[in-house]
Amino acid sequence: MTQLSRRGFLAAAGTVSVGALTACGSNSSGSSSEAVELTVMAWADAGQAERYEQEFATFTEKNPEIAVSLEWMDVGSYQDKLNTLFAAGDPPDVMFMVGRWLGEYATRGVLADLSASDQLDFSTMNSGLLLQGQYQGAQYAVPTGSTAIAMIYNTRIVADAGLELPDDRTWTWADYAEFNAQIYDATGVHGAGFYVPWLPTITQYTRQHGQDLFTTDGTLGVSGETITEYFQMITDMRATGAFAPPGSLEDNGTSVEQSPLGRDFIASQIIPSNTFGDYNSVMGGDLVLRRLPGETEGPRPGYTVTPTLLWCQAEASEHPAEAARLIDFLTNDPDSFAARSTLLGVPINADVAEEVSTGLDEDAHEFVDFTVALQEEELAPYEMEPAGAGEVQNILVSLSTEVEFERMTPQQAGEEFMSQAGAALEDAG
Amino acid sequence: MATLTAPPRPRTSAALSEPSRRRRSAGQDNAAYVMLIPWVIGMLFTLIPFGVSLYLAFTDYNLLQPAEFVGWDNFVAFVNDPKAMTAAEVTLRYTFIAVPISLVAALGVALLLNRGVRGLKFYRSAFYLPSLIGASVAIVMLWRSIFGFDGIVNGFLARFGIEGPSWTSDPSWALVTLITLSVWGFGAAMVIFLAGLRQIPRMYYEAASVDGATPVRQFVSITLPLLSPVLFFNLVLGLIGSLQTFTQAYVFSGGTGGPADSTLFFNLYLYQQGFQQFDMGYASALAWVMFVVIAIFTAINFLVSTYWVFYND
Repeated sequence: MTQLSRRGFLAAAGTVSVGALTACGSNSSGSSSEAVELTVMAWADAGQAERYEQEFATFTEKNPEIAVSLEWMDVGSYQDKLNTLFAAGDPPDVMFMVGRWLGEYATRGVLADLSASDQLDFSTMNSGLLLQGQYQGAQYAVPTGSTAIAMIYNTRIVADAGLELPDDRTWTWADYAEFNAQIYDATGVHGAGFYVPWLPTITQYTRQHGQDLFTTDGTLGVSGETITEYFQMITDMRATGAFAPPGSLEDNGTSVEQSPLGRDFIASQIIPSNTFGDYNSVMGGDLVLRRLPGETEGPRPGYTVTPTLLWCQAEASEHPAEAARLIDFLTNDPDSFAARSTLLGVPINADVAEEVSTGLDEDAHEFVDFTVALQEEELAPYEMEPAGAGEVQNILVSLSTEVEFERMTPQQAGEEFMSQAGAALEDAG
Repeated sequence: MATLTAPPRPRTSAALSEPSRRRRSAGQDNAAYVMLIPWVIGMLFTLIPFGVSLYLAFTDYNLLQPAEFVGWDNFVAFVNDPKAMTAAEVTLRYTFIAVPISLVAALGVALLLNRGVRGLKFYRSAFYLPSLIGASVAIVMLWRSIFGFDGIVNGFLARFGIEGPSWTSDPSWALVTLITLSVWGFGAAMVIFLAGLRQIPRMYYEAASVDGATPVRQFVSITLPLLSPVLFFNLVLGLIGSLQTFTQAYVFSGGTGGPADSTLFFNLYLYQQGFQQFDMGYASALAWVMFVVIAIFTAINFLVSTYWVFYND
């Protein structure tokens, strides 16, 4: 057994070093006048990766001296691999990042400050969204696009239950619980089954309560009571069958076909709305995009329009100018959206967004309309996720599991959250 | 007669053979050194990281900036780190449950197979096979789906009207799933037991039967004592292996140690600290804590062994 586990470990290490070698080889070319090869790292499935590669091919057509190779993997193994490459000194030139990781990487000095680059035209980009690629005054990231989270409902099951979807502008969380219980009573399909500890959902729920998950100085803004109330709501919904039972959502990370939604085990789900097309094409067009409940019942609405993902450039990139030019292309050139469309969100360059929106399919249109409608409303400003936010996400995953299997009451989970998350933010800050 | 068949060696032959032996040994030495090179290189790959990690254990090192010497800080942090204690607890619980069950299963099956089963070779291979693949990624993934919410195990239980728990996502059961995976790999120990059983002379059993000893008495008085060195060997290897468990937990939980830290093995936590939190200094300290603990366990094992292991020589 010793031998076996060691062998397994070595095999894993081998994979990583092969990756490192690939990255190394692609970085080895010389000055910018010669041919340059950039490496981009992203999480994707095979279909998404193909779309990104098409955009990179277009980029190479316009910049024949720059070749771009994509390294893609599933999101679960992304961060481990990225960290290993950083540690080995061979990071990809350009990579995906999310807001809750940005602070941690930025403080370690591994990301390039893009604001000084003459290859990027920031003037065309939405300044509010750009702000969310900043950390302590430096522009470490450019949003890939904008999005908001949304509820998707399977209308076929709603119709089977003989129900009609309530008005999503005014529905409360109680309406939502009641509606999902009715679906369960009528069809045996659990009305709800979203990923409970997901930070964007909890952020929005917290904002509806007049609090921010994180304060501007990187401490906790949410109260333990709000977290308790959130967990209590899910627990109550589980009791009526409105929410999927404990343990039944474990394979949520697989393909849409095999997911609880795809198997008609649940009737609704919370997703980043930019992925709507991916869901709806598999579900035969049965899905609709709706707002989360509770927007009008508290002191303020909770919605925010956020960057979908972030493009970052490694400080250690040997071709910083070319890498920045690629990020500029992916943001400011409408041609770069030909294949990926709005998969990574609504373009943050308004002119590009306008141009891209003319050629959209129905699902992408529904997503863009949804996001633009939100953008036009008056939303409270969005607080940056501080260093340590990634760990706060991990803590929420643990606590929601404890509550799910009744090893902790929502009350205890709320208290635990305050002490654990508070300590994590303090350590990181 | 004896003197005729084995005459004393004449002195001259010894004197003559001396230089030629030296020549041969010089050639052999070189050959030996050449063949040792891979081992020496291999040792360097072990010893250098070994030494470096000892140094790093006393530093604050985030892989990206130079290491900074901090004395015993990492070890103080370890003592005050509740998550490290959770990881130690998970690892010990796993070890103290999985190792005894594996040994009993291995010995039990070895005893059955030793009774002269037809097709012994087939059964031996069949039971041995899981231990070769048990820690592989594919098997752990398979295990996950077998024990999943809609998996085969719960499907089987449902036939008897039992609603099984969610083995893989319920923190109370996830470790049990990994323990069954470990026990399933009892074949390696079993093969060694089987070889050990073959070494016990039949005449002891025959003599005991003549004296009217029951099979249980024979097992306790003959098999166990004579098998005790093999049992000891399997126990030591099993303990060390279990305390170092990594791959199964990593794959099973996707590197998180979840659900709710219930599969957060010490080795996995160490990996998280080093490669996810970029705290390589602390990770090195954890590695040395683990090394010392394993050394202590093994030393205790050897000390206690003098009381129960019987070497028949």
